[in-house]
Amino acid sequence: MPRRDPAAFAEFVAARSAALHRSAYLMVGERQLAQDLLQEAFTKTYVAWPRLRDPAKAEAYTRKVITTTAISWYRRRSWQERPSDTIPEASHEGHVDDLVRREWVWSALQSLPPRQRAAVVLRYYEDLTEAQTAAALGCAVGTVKSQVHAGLASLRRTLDSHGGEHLELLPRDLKVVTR
Amino acid sequence: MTGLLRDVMDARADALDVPDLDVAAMVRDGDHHLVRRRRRLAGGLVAASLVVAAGIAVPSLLPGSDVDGDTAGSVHSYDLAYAVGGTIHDGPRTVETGVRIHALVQGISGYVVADQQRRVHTVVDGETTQVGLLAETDRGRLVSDDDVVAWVDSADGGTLSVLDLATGERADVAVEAFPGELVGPPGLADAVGAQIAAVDGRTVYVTDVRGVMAWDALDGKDPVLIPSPEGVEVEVVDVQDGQILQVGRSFEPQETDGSTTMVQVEDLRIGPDLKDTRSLPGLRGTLSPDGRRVALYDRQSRPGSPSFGTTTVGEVSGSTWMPVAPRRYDSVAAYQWLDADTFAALAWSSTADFVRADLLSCEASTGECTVAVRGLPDGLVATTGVTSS
Repeated sequence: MPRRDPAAFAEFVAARSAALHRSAYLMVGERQLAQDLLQEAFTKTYVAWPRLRDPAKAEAYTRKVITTTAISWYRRRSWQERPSDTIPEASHEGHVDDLVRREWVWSALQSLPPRQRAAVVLRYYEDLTEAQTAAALGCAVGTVKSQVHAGLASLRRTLDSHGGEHLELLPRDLKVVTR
Repeated sequence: MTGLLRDVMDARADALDVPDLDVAAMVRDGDHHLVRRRRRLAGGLVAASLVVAAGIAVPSLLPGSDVDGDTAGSVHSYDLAYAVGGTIHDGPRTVETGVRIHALVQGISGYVVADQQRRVHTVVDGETTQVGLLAETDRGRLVSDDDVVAWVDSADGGTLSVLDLATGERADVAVEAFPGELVGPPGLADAVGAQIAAVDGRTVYVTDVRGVMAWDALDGKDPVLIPSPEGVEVEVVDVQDGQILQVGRSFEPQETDGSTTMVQVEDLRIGPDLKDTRSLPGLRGTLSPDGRRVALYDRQSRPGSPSFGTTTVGEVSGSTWMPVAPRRYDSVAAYQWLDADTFAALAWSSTADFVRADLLSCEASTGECTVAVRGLPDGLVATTGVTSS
């Protein structure tokens, strides 16, 4: 039976913490919270360590814990009442500089409901397949499709409403799977 | 063109520093979790085998129900319990009550709960029985010490009710017939249902305008007034083994810009009565069941940030206070002692958008805590006796 090996676990943490930290941050949008989330997710991974066997399985497990824990931490009301006026305004000429545009997208991403945001991060930052995303979210593939579709539609609306109709939200090769 | 969303996520993620993780803490917390899980499993198997062998329920031998070694016979050891919906979760056990729980206290022989309609029920040996109706929904509460539970019932326009879960003994006295001048706690003076301040053993402490009334109701004794000092309004917070934790409020003159105004000063104090007391550092607190230790709660603030709650713990007679500050939480508040050395606490961290809260089990001797309930389920009711909204 596989044993709980602290040295092997520490090696896994050292190897994968930076990448998983980035995903955690994109899901919660705050550095300290992302670090807390990672610490907790790795602790749960250590408990499950003997049945995870290989590093790929351990990473998938940790990602799943990060995702489900991030969703559980969100304060529900904030997603119904989030003000949109926190998004920076475009300049009068209708031109938006790159920095402001990026802030729009970041703010809009943070404003998504937690499941939609997690689905978008897993699909378009982590490049997971829909099946892998479904496994991380603990839901059906069909739910992933609807969450991603709703999330992207919301981001698109934000971008359009601030004069960014001509901008591509996603790389062209990815758009086909989301429409 | 690379998609804007992808660019933004890459740029934000790439700007992060390397995370500061504590692998030793992960291993330690993980091992603690495993030990608790194994104990629960082993305890459950032992309990199951005892039930099968004897053919009866043996609640006193269930895991987590052992008597504390240092104070055998006086201090019971509880598992951390809470309710969600109609289910009580008590360590490894779950108890279905059939009522939607809004207030909960935990005894040795069972539980007392109040539902949304203010009905008070006992839950003993899996059987739920209505025993009363809280006088007030918002401020009504259940106050207990082990198996003795008290509340203000709605009967006869307000009745002080005391029940012993173990023996079934009960005493009811109408508020109007109760000797003395009962009031709610300061600030809620007219609050029906909030007059019971504490229960210590079989003694119920009832708030009175002149101090507090100590009432051994189940033994048929008359209440005895414990008077407060002259000019001081006293709120009794907790009583254990005769030690009274209290907040004294008095007015003191304060010089401001050449004029003198009277300001109200609050002081957390402890003693065998309301006069022979000593100050403690904090706003509120909760006493260990043997009255020897106290977990103190205080609020701190940082400029530009929300205030946060801190907890320290120490000997009632001592002067050193150990901070209880588990990593990764902004605030900690103790709410129930599980035995003479262990207390349950709510711990949380919050920002404008997030709040994450856990229930912890903390050791008074070391100040260390382990997570007992990670992420609070919606509608969780802790064992405070206070009705949830």
